[in-house]
Amino acid sequence: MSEKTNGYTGMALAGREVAARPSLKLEFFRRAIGKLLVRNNLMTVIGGAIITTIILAAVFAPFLAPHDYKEQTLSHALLPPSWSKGANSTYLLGTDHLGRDLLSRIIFGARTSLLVGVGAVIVAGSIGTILGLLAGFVGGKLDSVIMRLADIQLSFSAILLCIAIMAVIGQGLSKVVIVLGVVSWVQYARVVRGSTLSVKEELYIEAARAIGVSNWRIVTHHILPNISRPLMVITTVNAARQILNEAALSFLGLGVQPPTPAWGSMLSEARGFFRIAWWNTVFPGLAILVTVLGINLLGQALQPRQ
Amino acid sequence: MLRYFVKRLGHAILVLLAVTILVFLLVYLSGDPARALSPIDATEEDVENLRHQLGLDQPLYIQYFRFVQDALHGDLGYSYKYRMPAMSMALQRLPATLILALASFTITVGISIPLGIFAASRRDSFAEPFVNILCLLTISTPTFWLGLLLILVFAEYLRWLPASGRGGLQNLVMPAVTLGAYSIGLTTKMVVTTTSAELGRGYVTTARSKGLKEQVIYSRHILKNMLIPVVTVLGLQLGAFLGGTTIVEVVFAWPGIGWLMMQAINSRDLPLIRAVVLIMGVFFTVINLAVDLSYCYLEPRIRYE
Repeated sequence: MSEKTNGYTGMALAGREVAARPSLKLEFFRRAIGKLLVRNNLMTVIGGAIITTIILAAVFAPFLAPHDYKEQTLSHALLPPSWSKGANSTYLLGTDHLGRDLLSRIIFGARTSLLVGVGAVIVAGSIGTILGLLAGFVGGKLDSVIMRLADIQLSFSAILLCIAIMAVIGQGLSKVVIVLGVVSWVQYARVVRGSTLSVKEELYIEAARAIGVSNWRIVTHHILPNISRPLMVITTVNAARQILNEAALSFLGLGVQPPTPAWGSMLSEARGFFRIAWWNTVFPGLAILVTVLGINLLGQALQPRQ
Repeated sequence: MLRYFVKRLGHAILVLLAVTILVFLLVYLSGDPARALSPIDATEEDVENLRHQLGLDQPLYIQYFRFVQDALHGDLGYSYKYRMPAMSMALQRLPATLILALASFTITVGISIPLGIFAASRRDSFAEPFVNILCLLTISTPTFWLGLLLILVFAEYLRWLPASGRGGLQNLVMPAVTLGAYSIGLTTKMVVTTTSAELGRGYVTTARSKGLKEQVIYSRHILKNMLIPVVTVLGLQLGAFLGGTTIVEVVFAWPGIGWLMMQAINSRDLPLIRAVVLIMGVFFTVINLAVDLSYCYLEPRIRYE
């Protein structure tokens, strides 16, 4: 009997031994954390932490904001941050010219920035990926037409195009998302086309064709998953750019309109009195910088190493 | 060479065509173009008169050809606010914008190439991560915010530089640095990457084994080879400068074409908006064409492609 069960018993013992050794689990975590902290991965951790914090702040804004972001108390206008002289301790980062709490507006402003960033990326990503896939997979004249269109679009400054269109069609959150998305499809299309061209020559695509898999299935099940990495890199670059562009448009008065808090329009409002209330200029700008930096850090970590 | 030139020129003409279509359609994006082109206080009858007068009741393609014809004659209508020809107003402001763009470009080249080479040559020291972080910070900073911070520090607290307006070289420093910051980050990163790649190549090892001085290796060998991708990025940046000037001009009250555009937008002066967009579009195309053609000299292989 002992001969028969020896193997099983041995395995069971080994399993019990592994389970009994918590140091192995610890070792695994230690190595994982160690790996994460090495070079680029440190950037991933910092970038990820920043973005997670900002997403959480945006989602739980009503619970985190110490005041109502719309509440105006003119007698509390332009109060400095709580650590300065003459401050009111209930307003941690001070107040704006209408006596609204700056911290609450910054927290709610994260919603606008992220909404525009994600929305514009979805619009640009959808248009660009579809056109890029068509150009790369179908090829021929369709490829020439799409790429010529991309060249034309790329030959024109995206932000200038946004300013011109927003000036004519009017302002608003949804318009900003659509315009920013529509003018930045090119980067996606170029990256997706390039990656599709190389992936479609792979043996597994040929094998899929040989067994009669439809073109639609090849694109959705074989090409798309294999071009996801360059797609993710371009998405991070694009998201950072969209947030900066939205802030610029709002700063120029062409983006999100008051009373919706947006970091760009907060800076625009602060311009009139930034000499006497520096905090209104510094903190919303810092919020944009930190968010974009977080996305860029993640993007850098995703890029293949040199 | 000639084939490439003709091909590139054809592309530029196509882009110009697209720019004119965009500017033409801009008034239609607002809904009723006759209403958009009328002053705010115009009556319904005035609007109808203008519609007939401008031929807006004609088919779209006839309107477009007439628009191109007028634009070629420098006629894009009169600005409502200033009661002056829109095209000449926009052209008057162009030099200020070009000076600003050129100054930013010079600063970008002057800082990013030496800084990038320095960082790449000291890969194992603190220099590379430091420059990397600096690059990440500059490409993550909103241009207009940087401008406001510079005004706050250098004009308000230190009182070293004037906060706004156009005048001497002192007025140019802050707007040029603000406009160039993003490009400095981007180009420096590019220089670090390409220089690092070149440093690992065989010709550098050969040059070192010959006993050449490091300075000579960098100036005669590496610089030449790393310049092509860097010029590509710089060329793209030059175009981006023209787009970015609008925001910087607004922050520093710099009397360029971008600031004029924002004034036109605020007063819904559509003829002026159209003139500015058309001129910037044409200029953008010309710069892109010039940059592309300059590659022929830097990279002779392009001529034969």
